[in-house]
Amino acid sequence: MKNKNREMILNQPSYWIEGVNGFLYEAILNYMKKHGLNRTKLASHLGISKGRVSQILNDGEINFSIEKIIEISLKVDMFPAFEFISKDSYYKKEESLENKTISINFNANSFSNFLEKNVKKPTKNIIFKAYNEYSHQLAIN
Amino acid sequence: MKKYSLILSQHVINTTKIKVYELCKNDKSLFELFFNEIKKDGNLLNNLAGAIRIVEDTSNLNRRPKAKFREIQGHKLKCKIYEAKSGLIRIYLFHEEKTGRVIVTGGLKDNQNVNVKSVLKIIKEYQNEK
Repeated sequence: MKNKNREMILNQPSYWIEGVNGFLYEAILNYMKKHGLNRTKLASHLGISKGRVSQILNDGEINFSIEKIIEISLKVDMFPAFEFISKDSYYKKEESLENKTISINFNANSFSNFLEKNVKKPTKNIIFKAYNEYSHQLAIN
Repeated sequence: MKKYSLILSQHVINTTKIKVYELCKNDKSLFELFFNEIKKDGNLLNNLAGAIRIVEDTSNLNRRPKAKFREIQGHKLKCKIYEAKSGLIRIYLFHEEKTGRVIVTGGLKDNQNVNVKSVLKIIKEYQNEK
């Protein structure tokens, strides 16, 4: 991978553990909201102690066995579909996503006014022009 | 010439729903300097990767408990300032309207109070310069 720091991040266990913690936390919160459960009812539904529920909801620390994570996922109406992706294809996927992304910041009010004025004009092409601080037009490749 | 600038983060994937930037001082990303220090030491890189994942997920509008991602209160700046936490590592960022999340820098749990003060000062300088 060209971006060595990003490669190092992806190779740390905590990056993925935090991801799993996040999936489970989000799924539990959504399930509680959907079914109007409080922590006591949730603990009884999941078959874990109230203390454990507090640990998940307050600290976001799951620290369960794989078996327990799968059981909890199923109980909150989610299939825990794990996926193994080769590092090479993951790096390639990230790099291709990054190459496709262009970030443009613009003034939304001016753009909205411009669209309102030109709304009925037939348009085939949108041309982007960039200017430097001296109002000289810059080339965009 | 302006001292501060923003670059798209090289540490967080740039396809998040809210874009993540890093604050640069004299063209050098403050967070990259912190990352390189942690990388040199080696022991806390795993925690740092965890904190980066939290920044990534919360920028994708996923929730995290306050123990992992909290808003820093008690300041007079006109922006929301956040702290992402994993083990001993902290990452400080703020939300800039029309731009996205801006990572200021990182820090260690032991220096939390000093780091928060320093982060507030940096954000104030950045905003005053605009």
